[in-house]
Formats: sequence, C-alpha cells, structure tokens
Amino acid sequence: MNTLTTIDELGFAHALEEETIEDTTSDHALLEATRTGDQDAFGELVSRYRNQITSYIYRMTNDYDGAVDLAQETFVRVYRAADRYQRTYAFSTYIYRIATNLAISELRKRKRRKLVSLTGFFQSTDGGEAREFNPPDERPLQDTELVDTERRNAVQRAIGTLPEKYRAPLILRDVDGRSYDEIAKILETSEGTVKSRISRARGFLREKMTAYL
Amino acid sequence: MNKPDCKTIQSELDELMLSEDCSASALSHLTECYECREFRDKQTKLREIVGSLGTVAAPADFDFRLRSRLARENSTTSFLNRSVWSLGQKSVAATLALVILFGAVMLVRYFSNTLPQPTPELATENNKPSTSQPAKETPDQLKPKQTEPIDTIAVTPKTQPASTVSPKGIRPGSKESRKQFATVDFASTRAPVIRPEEVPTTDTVFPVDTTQQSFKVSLFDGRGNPRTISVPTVSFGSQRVLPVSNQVSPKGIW
Repeated sequence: MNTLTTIDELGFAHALEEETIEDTTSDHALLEATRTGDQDAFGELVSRYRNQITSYIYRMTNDYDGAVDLAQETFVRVYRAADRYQRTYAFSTYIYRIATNLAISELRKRKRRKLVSLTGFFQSTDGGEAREFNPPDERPLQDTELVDTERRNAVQRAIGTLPEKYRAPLILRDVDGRSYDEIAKILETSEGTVKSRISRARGFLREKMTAYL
Repeated sequence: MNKPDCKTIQSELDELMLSEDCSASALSHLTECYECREFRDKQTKLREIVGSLGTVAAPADFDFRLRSRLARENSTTSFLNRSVWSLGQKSVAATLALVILFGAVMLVRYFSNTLPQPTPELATENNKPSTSQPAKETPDQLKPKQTEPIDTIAVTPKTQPASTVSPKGIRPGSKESRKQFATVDFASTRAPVIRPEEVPTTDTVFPVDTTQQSFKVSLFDGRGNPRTISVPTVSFGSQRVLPVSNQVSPKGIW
C-alpha cells in the first residue's frame, strides 16, 4: 500500500494516526458484523467497552448498580441501532454519547424524585447555596493506602455534587484522559465550552477538597 | 505580577495534560509568581487524585445479563414485527376488498341503468280500476292500450313506475323509482276476464310459450351441474289457454 511506503517519510505521527484508524476500523468492522447477525462480534465490542462505560456512568451517577443497568442499556441501544450507525464518528465517541445521555437522564430523574440529601441539612444561614457537609477529620494519619482510599472516596463524593454539565467533561478529561476534541464530539458542544466547563469543575472541586490538597 | 498574565498562565496550566510541560514563558512566570505556583500545585494534586479514581470493572455476569436481555428484546421485537406485519397485511387486504366491492357495485348499477329493462305497464294514480262493472270487460278493453296500461299484462319495454316497494328516500312514481325497479305488483290490478265466447288473441294474454306443457328452465347450480326446473303453465282460476292446432282456444273454465 502506498500509505505504508510513506510512513517512514511522514514520521511517527502518521504511524500513530494509522494505528488509531486501524482501531477505529476494527470497532466499525465489529459493528458491521453485528449488523449481519454476528453475535460474537458484538460480544467482542462489549468486552472492549463494558468496563469503561460502567466506570464512566458510575462516576457520573455515584451508584454502582444503577451504573451497571445503564451500561447494559447503552449496549442494548447500540445493538438496536446497529442498522442505522454511520461512520461519521469514532465508535467510542458514539457509545460514550449514548452513555452520557443515559447518565444525565438518570440524574434528572433523581432530581425530580427529590431524593433527600444531607447537604440540605447544612444550609448556610445567610441564605447562600447549600454546601456539602465535610466535617474535619481529626483522626491521626493512618496507613497511606487508607488515606488514599479515603481521598478517592472524598473526591468521588465531591464529583457527585457537581452540576451534571460540569461532571461529564471533568470525568472524560481527568479520569478517562480524553482530548478536548473527543469530549466536544461526545457532548456535542464546542472545545471552548468544554475547556470552560472543565476549568469551572476543577474550581468547584478545589473548594470542596481543600482539606485534601 | 500582572493579573492578566496570571489568568493566561493559569488557563494554560488548566488545559495541559498532567504529563505535558508548560511553555517557557509560563515557566518563567511561575518562578516569579507565588499565586500561580500555588495554583499549579493544587491543580496538579487534584488532577492526580481524580485521575487515581481509575476504572471500575463491570460485574462478572455482565455479558450473560446483556445477552439475556437482548434475547428477550429480540423475541418481543419479532413478535411485534409479525403482528404488525399481519395487521398491515390485513388492513391492505381489507382495503382492496372494499375497493373491489365498491367497484363491483358501481358496475352493477351502471349496467342496470343502461340496459333496457322490460317493465310492465302498471296502475298509476291516473289509471284506477273500474268499480262499477268488474266482470264485464270487452276484448277491446283487454287490448293493450297506451293510455290504460292497467288492463294489460303484456310486457312492453316501457320503463314505468313499477313497484310499491321502494327503498328509503325514493318515492313511488318518481324518476328514480322508474329507473330502479323492474318488479311489478298486480295486487290492485284487475285480471282480465275472458269469456268462452270471446276469442282471446295472443296479445291479450301473457305470451307464454305454449308449445310445451310446462315451462322449463335450466339453471346451473354452484358446481356447474345443470338443473332443470319445470314450471307448469299458470292459471289464475279462469282458464288455461293452450294452443290447439295453431289456434288458441280455451280449454275450459277452471
């Protein structure tokens, strides 16, 4: 192939691009095979993305069992829409978009159900916004691992208090390590908006995690 | 330090990946600005903590549960597709049947209106039977008259108002009823009386083919087999008129 002969000339960047295209193509190829009824191809897609999607939805909703259900719903929707799938975007963008919409819908449902939150008990007397209650930890420092675990739990809880429009870009960027361009495609917004929301989300987290920083 | 510079530097630090290095100008600013250094340190620590969250694994039975769910969905979807398709087929068939039926009805009505239908001349409002001398009628009266169709039962190809039975909305005697009906009700029509001394002509009686004893009709049943129905010559209590050597003569009063 002509492309291969030019890789040495164009350098490593093109090799990376080639590899990315190959990965994308294989996801597309698996989905094409799923369209024709190949169950094993779909199983391969599931095994590639089930942990990522489950983890992502869990970080969004802070509910593991609910995240597993929504992750399954994500794959069901991918399966159902296999006939209509077009290669406009990478498959990962496509599946993350579905997962994001499901997670946001779940968060909105919870709001409508008006789940009681402990933050409501600690409203500031000046009528300001309700803040999460974070009692100072006066215990002596223990095992580093325990500290790390506690820190991770605290940041997970803190992420759970973020508005949903800030939560998704922060998780996609800082937890999943995705680029701004990918995040913009998943969230169907501009890169500038993505950067702005991530910046604000980090600002909120800095305030909530002061004790741990 | 200039605030705008700090804002720009902090924005640059925010956008960089943890593993990426900032620009030379940002580095030089950081050496001089405590605020930006503190921002960078806190930001880096926060992003490290968030990044340490890692990936949460799906449960071991995730695939099994997903396949079960897909199998359930497929069975439900195929049932729905079959039902929908059969419903669609049924509706299409029903529509076609209605269209064909409508077309057939229109054709029948068209042909029934255009083809000449022999209808006997009937009693109309103007032609009232005579009540004074019911039995005495001359042969002349028995002859078909254009103006008095009441006394004849000769079949003429006239379209006259016929039956008293009419569908709703069509009045007897109206133009629509003339076109609609071919049946005749003789209930109020007096029958001609033929006296022995009167020689009835062939055109004063119902032109029945009297070459045979009975009137035979052959019909095909639903299976294509011919069925012959023998209809004896009808007499209404007066006399039967049969041809005898090419003459019509009364057989006798019944």
